[in-house]
Order: sequence, then structure tokens, then C-alpha cells
Amino acid sequence: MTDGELAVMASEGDERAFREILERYRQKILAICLRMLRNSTEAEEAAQDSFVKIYLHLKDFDPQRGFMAWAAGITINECRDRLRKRARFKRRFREISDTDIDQSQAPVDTAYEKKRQVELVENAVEKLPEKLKEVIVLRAYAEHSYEEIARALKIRIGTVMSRLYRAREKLTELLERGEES
Amino acid sequence: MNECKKIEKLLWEYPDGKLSAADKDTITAHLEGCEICRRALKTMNTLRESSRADRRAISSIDTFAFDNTVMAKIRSETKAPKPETENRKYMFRMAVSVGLAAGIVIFLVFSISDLGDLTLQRGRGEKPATIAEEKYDRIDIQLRRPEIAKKLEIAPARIAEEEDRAVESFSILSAPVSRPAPESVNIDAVYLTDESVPYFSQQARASLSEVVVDTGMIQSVETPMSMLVTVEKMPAPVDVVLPEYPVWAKKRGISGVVWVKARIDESGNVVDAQTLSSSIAGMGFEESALEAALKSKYMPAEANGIKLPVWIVYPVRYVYKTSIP
Repeated sequence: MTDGELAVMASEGDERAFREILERYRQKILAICLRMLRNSTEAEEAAQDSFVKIYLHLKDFDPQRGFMAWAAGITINECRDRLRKRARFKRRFREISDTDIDQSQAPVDTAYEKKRQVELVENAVEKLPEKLKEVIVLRAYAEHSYEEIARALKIRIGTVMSRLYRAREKLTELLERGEES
Repeated sequence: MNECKKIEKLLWEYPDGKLSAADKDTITAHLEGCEICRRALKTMNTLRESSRADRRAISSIDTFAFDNTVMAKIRSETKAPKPETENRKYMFRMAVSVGLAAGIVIFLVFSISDLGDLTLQRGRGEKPATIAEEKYDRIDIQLRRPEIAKKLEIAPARIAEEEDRAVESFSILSAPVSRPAPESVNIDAVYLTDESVPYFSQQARASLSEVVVDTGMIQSVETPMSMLVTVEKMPAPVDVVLPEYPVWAKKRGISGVVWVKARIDESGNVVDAQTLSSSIAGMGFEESALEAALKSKYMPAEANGIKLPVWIVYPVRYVYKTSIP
């Protein structure tokens, strides 16, 4: 059964159809939330809320856009909201500055090289500007194609490519700077 | 530079084997001479490594509980106002109960008038009403049903039906589902491997406010915000008490999963336990999991040779098994 058919059945109130949608996309939606929010509890919550929004807007789903891209767009929006709320909270409580968090997540000397590399790249992804972070998360973590990213974020493919390029360049730079220190 | 941008697009797909042999050759040739793209590939490979770690963390999520939470959230979002038919039914029931009450009042009026007759009769010096006669009156309340019905223009069967329904709704416990007794009740072993816990919660397990510094006497460091400490040795189970299968769930043949978060202190005792999620509430799974958690013993966690109190998270699965379907 295609995603479009499932979407129609679910929007008519078929719970089993929606559970099938959950089964198909749970992993990818969670992957986006986990990397965008970097907190497993909040990611799980964000993924659940994304699915609720997906359900409530099933009637607006346009099969032309592709289900994954459409769902990813909703998920990215949910994550954006949460990050904004978090930023507001952070501003209000200045003492939790970025540097504190960085130190707490700095690798301990027992971690070996590969693990250190992964941690460095994760910290670097975290530091990317929101727009660049989104394309990296969708490409590297949710494994979207260029077309899917374009449809999810409602931008042109050319923009996706240039953002992805800039994001990757920035990551390489941060990664190498991290290795030197 | 333009060449590099083309290569970049290909590189994202590079190790996946989705590329044609020609593309692969182009990449290999280009990488040979291009330092920038070699560095780019290294970054992408590290990203892939990180993505794989994320996927492992995600695979440990209790999908059953996840899906159920989503469905519950949807249900609470889409709770529609009561449909009209429901209201009409409700009104009918109201009418019937009001009718019944009225009927009883009418009956009482009748009996009082009967009583009047009785006193009159008594006054005439005849035999007083016996207990048997009173009994007969009581029985008559039911026998008069057709009479009441006739007055209210409702079929007597309908009244009986409504009465039964009212009685039913008053019984708190509905009849238990009859199922064969479980042949075996099996609780999964409590396991604490790193895979069972998402990466991020592993990091959050120990916080600095819980670090105990040994300077001749035990002293706990208080900090305004708890900072993360990496634990080298996770607590190892010494004596894990298996939870009891809740009686009610066993009778009904219900399975369930409860995620437990337990705090293990420096001596390996469980000092606090909470449930994080439960696949089905009200069946006693949470209570039995917590009770067992508090009785369990562990080897304490360690960092740099110092024993630390930590929180651990683990699932307890209650699996109902029976050979009879």
C-alpha cells in the first residue's frame, strides 16, 4: 500500500493505517528530532507531537510533495519551535552559558580517537546556524535526497546544494580546529 | 572549484554503493589530487558514524509505548463533542427515570388510599392487615409495571430494559474476561547493557551534585547546576529481584512493559525508583516493577576509582504466555 493510500485511510479515522505510517516513519522522524534537539527525552516527545500534527493535517497532505518530505517539514517546524523556546529560556537564565555546556560534553581522555571524532562532529553540528543544521540533519541523519530536502524545507534544490556545501565546509573547519586543540 | 562542488554531491553517496562504477572512478581520481575533497570526505564519514550511533540509540526506544502515546495524544486532541444521538438517548433515559419516579409516586398515592380503605375497614372492626398482605403489596410494585407503562405510554419491556441497564452501569467491575490460566508467566531478565539505554541518557546518569569526594570523610559537592560526569563502570547487578506478575493482569492475560528509573547509591542499594513509562496503566505493572527494583542489589558505579550514586534506566517486560490460544 502506498503512503498516499495510507494517508487517506488514516484521515478517515482508520487507526491501523496510521499505525502503519508510524511504523514506516518513526525511525526517520526520531533521527531528525534527536539530532536537532540533542536530548533523547525531548526528541521522543517532539517526535510524538510531530506525529500528532501529521495526523491532524493528513487532509492537507499533497501526494505530489511526497510523504517523507511533508512529514519531515512538519517535524523540522516542531523542532524549530522547541529550539526557540529553549533559546528564550537560556536567555533568561544567563548563567547557563554555551561554554559551560561545551565543557560538560568535552570528551574524557579515556575516549579513543574515533569516539572523539564523533563527539567533535556532533558538537560542531550543534554550533551550525539553524538553516545549515537543518540540511545537514536531513541529509546525514535522516538520509533524505536533495529533492526531498528541497520539498521538506520549501526551498530550491540549488539552495539545498549550496547550504549543504557551506554546512559541510564549516563542519570540516570546526572539526580540524577541534583536533588541533 | 566547480569540479569540487560536483564531487561533493557524489561524495554524499560515496560509500553507499549507489554510485556507478564510472562515478566511483571519477571520485577516486579526484580525491588523489584534491586535499580539500579528502577532508570533506573525512567529515562526511564522521557524520555517518555519528548517524549510526543515533540509530542505535533510537532502536532502543520502546516503540510499543511510543505508538500508544502518539495514539493517546491524538485521541485527546480530537475529542469531539458528544454526538446528537447520544444526547437524545440521554434524554430518553431521563424521561424514563422521571416517569418511573412519577409511577412510584402514583403507586404510593394508590397504596395510601388503600390504607385509607384499610383503616376504614378496621374501623368497621374487621381483621387487621397481616404481614403476608404487606409482602403482597411490595411484590405488587413490580406487578404494577404494565399499569405504569400504560399511563406513560411506554412499552413495559422497554422499562424493564432501562432498569436493567441502570443496574448494569452501577456495577463497578464488569465481568472478567474468561481466559485459560497462563501456562507460564515470564518476566524478561533485567538487563543493563549500554545498548538498552540511549546514548544521551547514559551521559545524564551521573551528575556532579551526586559526586562524593573522599577526603577522610564523605562530603557531597553541591553545585547550582548539575554537570555531567562520565562513569567508567556502570552498576553491575548482584541480586536482581524479579517482579511478581500482577494478579489482575495475569487473570486477564495482559502483557506489558514498564520502564524503570532507579537510583543506586555508593553502596549498591537502590534508594529511589520511579517509572518512566508504562505500556498499560492500572494493571499493577508499575507497582510490582518498583517494588522489585527497590529490593535489588548492585555493584556501585565507579569513576576514577570513586564509587558514585547513579540513576539507571531499564525495561521490565511482562510477557503473558500460554499454550492455549
